[in-house]
Amino acid sequence: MNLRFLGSLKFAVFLIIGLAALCVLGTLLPGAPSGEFASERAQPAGILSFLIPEDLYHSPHFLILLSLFSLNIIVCTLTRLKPKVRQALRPSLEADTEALLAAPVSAQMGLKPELRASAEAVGDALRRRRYRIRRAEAPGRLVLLGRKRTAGRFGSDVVHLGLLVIVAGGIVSGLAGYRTILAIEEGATEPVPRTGFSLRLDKFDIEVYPDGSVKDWKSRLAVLEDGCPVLGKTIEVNHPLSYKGFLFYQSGYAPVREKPTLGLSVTGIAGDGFKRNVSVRPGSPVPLGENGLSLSVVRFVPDFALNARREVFSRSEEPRNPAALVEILENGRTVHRGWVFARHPEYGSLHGRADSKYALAFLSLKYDLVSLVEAARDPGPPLIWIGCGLVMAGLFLAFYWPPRETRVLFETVSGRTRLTAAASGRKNRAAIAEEFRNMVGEWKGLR
Amino acid sequence: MNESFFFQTALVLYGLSAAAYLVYQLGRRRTFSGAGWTVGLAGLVFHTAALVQRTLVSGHAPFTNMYESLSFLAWSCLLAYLVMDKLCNLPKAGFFLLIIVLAFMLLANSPLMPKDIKPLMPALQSVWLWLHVSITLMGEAFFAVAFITSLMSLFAPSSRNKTSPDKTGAAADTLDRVSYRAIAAGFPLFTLGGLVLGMVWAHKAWGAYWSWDPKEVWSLITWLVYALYLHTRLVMGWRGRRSAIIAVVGFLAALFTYFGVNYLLAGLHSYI
Repeated sequence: MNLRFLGSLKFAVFLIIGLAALCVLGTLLPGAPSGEFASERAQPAGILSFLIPEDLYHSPHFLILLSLFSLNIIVCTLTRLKPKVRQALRPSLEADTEALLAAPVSAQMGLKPELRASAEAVGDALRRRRYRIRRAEAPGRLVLLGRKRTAGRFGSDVVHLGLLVIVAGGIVSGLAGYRTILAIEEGATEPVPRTGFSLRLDKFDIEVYPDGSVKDWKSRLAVLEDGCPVLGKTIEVNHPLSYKGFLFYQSGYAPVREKPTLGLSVTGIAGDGFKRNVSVRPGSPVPLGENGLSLSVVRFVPDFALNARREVFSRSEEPRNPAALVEILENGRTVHRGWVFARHPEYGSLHGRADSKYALAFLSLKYDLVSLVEAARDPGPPLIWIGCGLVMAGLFLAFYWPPRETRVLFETVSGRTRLTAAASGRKNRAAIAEEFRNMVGEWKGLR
Repeated sequence: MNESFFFQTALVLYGLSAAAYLVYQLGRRRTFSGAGWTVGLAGLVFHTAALVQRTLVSGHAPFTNMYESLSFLAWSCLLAYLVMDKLCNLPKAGFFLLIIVLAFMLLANSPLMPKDIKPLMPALQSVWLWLHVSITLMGEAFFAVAFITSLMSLFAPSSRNKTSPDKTGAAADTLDRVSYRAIAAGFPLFTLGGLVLGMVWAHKAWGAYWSWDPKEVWSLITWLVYALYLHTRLVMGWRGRRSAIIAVVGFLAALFTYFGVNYLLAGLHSYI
C-alpha cells in the first residue's frame, strides 16, 4: 500500500462501508455482542464466530479497521492540507482575461477613472460586502482578489481533526480508564480501589411515585481521607460526585439477603384483645409490651421447602416463599413455637402448638439495602468533548460557512480602464450570482 | 380542550393536507399545493398545542415513550418539510411526506402504543433528555425529507430527456440538490443530538460516554451511511441515482435506529 492509496477517498469509502457492515453484523447476528449484554447471548459458530467475536468492538480486526480509518484521515488531511493552507495564506494573484470570462459568473466593462482610482472604488465595494482584499500591481495591470469566509474551506479538515481527537480519547479511556462498582451499606465505609480514600454511605433513599415505580435513588456520601470526612455530597442518577479524578455514579441498589427484617403480627386467641405488630430481625428478640412477653425469630428461610427427611431448607435466596420459625417466651418459658408463612397465612395456625394462645401472621419482609455506586476514573472525556466541539465546528464551517471569492482584473487598454471580474465559491450558486450582479450594478456608476 | 382533542384535530388536518397534495399531484394546480401547505401548517399548530399540553400535564419532555416520540417525530418531519418547501419549492414532495407523517401519527394513535402518562424513571430525569431527543429527531426529520426527494428522483424522468422540467415537475437533478440540502441540514443536527449530546448524557447518567449499546451502534451506522453520502458526493462527484440510493439506505438505517433497536435488540436504551 502506498501513501496515496492510504489517504485516498476510495480507501475511506471502503473503510466506512467496512466499519458500518461490521457494526450491522455485530448487532444483528444471533449471539452477537451488544455492549454490556454480551454474556447473555448464545455464541455463534464457525466463520461467524471469527468475524464477530464475543467482544467485537474490542477485537483485533475491529481495532485494526479503526486504526486504518484514523490513518486514512491523517494521511488524507495532511496531503490535502498543505496546498489548502498555502492557498489560504498566499493565494495566487494571477488573473487572465480569457479565463475570467470563461467562469460561469463573470462580467466585463470599461471604467472612467484611471486604474488605481477604479481599483480603489471597486475595493471599497468589496469591503462593504465583507470581502478581504489582496492586490497585485504591474504596469498597466492591477489585480484585486476579494475573499470571505475563507475558514469554510477547512470545515472538513476540522471535522477530521475532531474525529481523530475522539479516537485518541477512546484510546486513552481504554488504556487508562478504570471502573468498578462499590456496594455500600448505610453507615458502612468502603475503600475505593487504587486510591487512598474511602467512601462512607451516610444515607440511602429510594423515592417512589404514587404508583410505586421508582422516582429516584439518592445516596448521601462522604469522602474519607485517613478516616476523616473531607467532602460530602448526595448523589443521584444523572448527578455524580467528582473527587480526585474519580466520578461516583448512583448506579442502583441491591438487597442484602443476609439482613432481612420481618414484620409480624401477634394476636391473642383467648379473646382478651391482645394484638401487637412487631418488626424483628432473626436472632434478636423483641419485647411484646410490658407483660414479660418477648418474641424471637429462631430461623428464617426465604424460599421454604421440605426435603425427603422432612427437614426445612431454602430452595433459593429469592424470597419466593418466605417463612419464619417464631418463638414467644413468657418470663423465659416458651409459650408458642411455630412456622409462619408470608404467602400462606393459613399454615400459621396449622403448624403452631395446639396449646398456643397466639395466632401469628407474617405481614412484610424487607431487606437492608446496599447502594450500588459506580466508581469511574476516565481521563478520556476531556479529549472526547474537545473532539466533539471540533466536529461540530467543522460541520458548521463545511455546511454553513461557504467561502466566496471575487477576482477583479483592471487593465489599461488603449488609454481606458477595463474591468474584468469573476466570482466563484462553493454552495448556492444563485446567491453568488446575485451578489455579483449587485456589485457589478454599483460599479456601473464608475462608467 | 385536552391533548387528545388537539392531537386528533391535527391528525384530521394532516389527512386533509395530504388529500389536497394528492389533488395537486394529479392535476398540478398550484391552488391545491398551497391549500395543502396551509392546512398542513394549521395541523402543525394543533399538533404543537397537543405537545405543549402533554408537556404541561406530564411535567416532562414530550418524548419519553413510543407514543410521544412518534408524535414528536411526525411533528418534526412536517416542520422540516414546511421549511424545506419554503426554501426549495417542493410541492411535489408534499403528498409523499404527508404519507410518512400520517403513518407516524396513526401508529402513535393506534392501541399498540400506550398513551398514559407514566412517571419518569430516574435516568430520564435530565435536561439532556430534551436536548438529546429533540435535536436527534429533528435531524432524522430532515433525513426523512431527503428520503422522499431521493425516492422521487429515483423514479422521476432524468433531466437528460427534458420533457417538462420545472413549473409542474421537479426534475431529477433538482430533487437531487434538494436531497443534498436536506442532508446538509440533518447531518449536523443528527451528529449534535444523536452522537455528541448522547455521549454527554451517557457520561452524566451511566458514567461512560460510549458503551457500544445497540442504539449507539446503530446511530453510528446511520452516521457512517450519511458520511458516505457526503464523501462520495462532495469529493467523488457522485450525483443522481447512486447518491439517492445512499440517502434512502441512510433513512432506513435511521428508522431502524429509532424503531428496530427498541423492539428487536436489548440494550440500555430499552426504556423508550
